[in-house]
Amino acid sequence: MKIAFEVGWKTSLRWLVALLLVWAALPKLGNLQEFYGDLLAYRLPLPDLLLRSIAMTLPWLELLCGLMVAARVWLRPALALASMLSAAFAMATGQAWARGLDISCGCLKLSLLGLSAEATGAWGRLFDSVGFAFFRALLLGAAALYLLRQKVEMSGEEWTRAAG
Amino acid sequence: MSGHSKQSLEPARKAALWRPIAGILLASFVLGLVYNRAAPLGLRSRNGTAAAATNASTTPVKVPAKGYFSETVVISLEPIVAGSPLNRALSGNTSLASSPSSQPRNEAAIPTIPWAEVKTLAQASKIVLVDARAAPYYQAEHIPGAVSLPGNMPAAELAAFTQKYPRSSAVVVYCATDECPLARSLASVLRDRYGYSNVKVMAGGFAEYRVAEQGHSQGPGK
Repeated sequence: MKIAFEVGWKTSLRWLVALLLVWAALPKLGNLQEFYGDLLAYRLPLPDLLLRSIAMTLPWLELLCGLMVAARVWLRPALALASMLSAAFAMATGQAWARGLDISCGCLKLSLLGLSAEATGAWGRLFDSVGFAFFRALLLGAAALYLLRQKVEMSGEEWTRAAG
Repeated sequence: MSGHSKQSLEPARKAALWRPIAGILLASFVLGLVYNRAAPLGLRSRNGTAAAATNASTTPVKVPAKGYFSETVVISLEPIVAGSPLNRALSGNTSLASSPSSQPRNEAAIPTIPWAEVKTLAQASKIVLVDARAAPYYQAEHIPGAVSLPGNMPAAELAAFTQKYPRSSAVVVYCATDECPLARSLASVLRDRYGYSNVKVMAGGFAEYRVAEQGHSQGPGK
């Protein structure tokens, strides 16, 4: 019974991580310029070429990682990358939050669910804020690290049995 | 013994992790490059944009002597601090749109105009082309000749625009896409609050311009 619960819990967590990664990727792919603008708003001390490269690469990185976590293909590398991405997001949003930049986090977009800023109002703005994004990145990173640790501790066959 | 085998396994384990990570990173970069070239709202170099917009062929860019200019009405980039968020500008919850007295009365009634027509009129200096997106997007790339009038601009600063361009000017406003509400809200503010009688919204926005110009430059012999 306990095993069944743990398997269900880990599978749900894995799907949640995958879903968040894919959700984060799709709006960015829909409008790379908007994401680039979001990156500019973070005012990171990075050269423009690097910011443009990040704007082009990051959505695909998120999408590939999300799909791999969902499909359990290259699960360990995908989870490791998801952890690193989350750490980077947490740093970027954390510094923006600490500096008082009230900007769009550029991560998860409610528009993907057919919700507009007018319809969602204060909740939508809270969801899109950097402070909320900071905690979300921490949680996503923790979830990915937890799954990665579980994966490391188990053999491949055990994992396949357990997480499937 | 087991400790020794554990030690010898560690580098192999790390290599097994880092190789796929490098592969995923490389795949993402390549996919990003390819997709960026094809996407209507992809990133382009500033020089590339000007070339695509003003000239479909491979000849050097020639900016018409009069009218087809590029300028920014915004004097400086508005500080992104509490109260003037970039995301609110994008979502349409702007200082203009949120002010009760400036609520657009009938956004749907604003006529639209296709890019092909806008291009001709802009080159003939017959319209004022207005970019309603937030300033960073305009600075990153815009339709040549367009004036930046971001949706998050305070109403007082909008006065600079109204002083420069008479009410009889034909104004065409564009945003990123048709889904972006800024073009329509700004157009209705210009018409209803500032008395511009000839205000239109460019159909498809910046994405339409991109698609049209890319299609042009890729066409044989064009």
